[in-house]
Amino acid sequence: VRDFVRVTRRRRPGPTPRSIERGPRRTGDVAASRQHRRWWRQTTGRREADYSRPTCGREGGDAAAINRRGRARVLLSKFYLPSQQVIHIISSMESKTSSPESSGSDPMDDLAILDRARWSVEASPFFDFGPWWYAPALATTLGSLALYGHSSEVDGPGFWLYLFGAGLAIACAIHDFYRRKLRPKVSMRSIAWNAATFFVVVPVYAIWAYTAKAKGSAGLPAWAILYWIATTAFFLAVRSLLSTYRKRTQSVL
Amino acid sequence: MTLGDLDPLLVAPKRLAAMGILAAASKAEFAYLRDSLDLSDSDLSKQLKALVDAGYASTKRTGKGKTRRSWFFITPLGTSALNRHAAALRVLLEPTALVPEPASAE
Repeated sequence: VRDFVRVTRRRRPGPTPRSIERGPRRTGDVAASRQHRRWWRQTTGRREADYSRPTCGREGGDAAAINRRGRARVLLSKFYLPSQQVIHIISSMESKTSSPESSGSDPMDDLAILDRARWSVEASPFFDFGPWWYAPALATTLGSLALYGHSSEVDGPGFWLYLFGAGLAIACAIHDFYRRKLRPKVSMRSIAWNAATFFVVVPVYAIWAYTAKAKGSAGLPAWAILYWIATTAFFLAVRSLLSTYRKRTQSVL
Repeated sequence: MTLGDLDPLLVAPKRLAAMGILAAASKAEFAYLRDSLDLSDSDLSKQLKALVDAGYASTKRTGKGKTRRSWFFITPLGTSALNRHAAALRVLLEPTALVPEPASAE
């Protein structure tokens, strides 16, 4: 078997480029190793890595820029990344202005940050609709107020539905107060946002009230259930739109 | 108003944005600041600690367990520092801000 293996073992076709660069196997012969490296340098014209220099002696190019990046350049070059890739990575790191210690080079950028922060705080309550169940709760409130708000009865089911709708609104308001992570100051712009919210809700209530007057609101009419579903879907759609917009414009930086 | 009025603590964009939010709100929770500034918890904590240590912001913790919240406020010192910093930035934007005065001929 030993003879068979010896005969059939294929010889390597020759030294690979890597083995040429590395030289003979490490046998402890320092002199032979140095001689090989000298031969390699003379043959290829390449120098070995010089870690005492920022560029490791491997590349030329923009020497000033490379020296400026000096230390990070050496650290990254130890991972054997191609030099252009390293420079690209460092450039992209340098171009980030969100570094805590980086100074705002442009006063206009800093003022824009302040403006965005103020806008974010003032518009935040408007764009934060809340959990999904606010939509059916709001639809129930509007419906009960439109159906039974004008009724003078205090004993029938309409009265209890009216109380239920009003109670739901109060419960949602309390929940919303404790849910919010921001207490904005009252300003002209925040008042304007609240007015905008009011003008979104009023037309929906007007449709409810007009239909209730036209078709009657005795008991719980069938059209009210359809309206409740449509109103809930409308508020859910509004919530989805506001949420999408808020996520896109949320970051102040 | 000179370049010296620029507050070195507020030159960093993250701290400046946090102060901008706190100045517009009566109080803001840690999670809101984190989401608005798009920062990690540790990063925001470090920035806010710098502001609190400088006396520009104060903090108050409420609740226990899952309902525990950290609220941040801006202090009067922080408000004045932010206003001074913003005024210095506006001065820098004026076209004549950094033009040296011509030497008077004697």
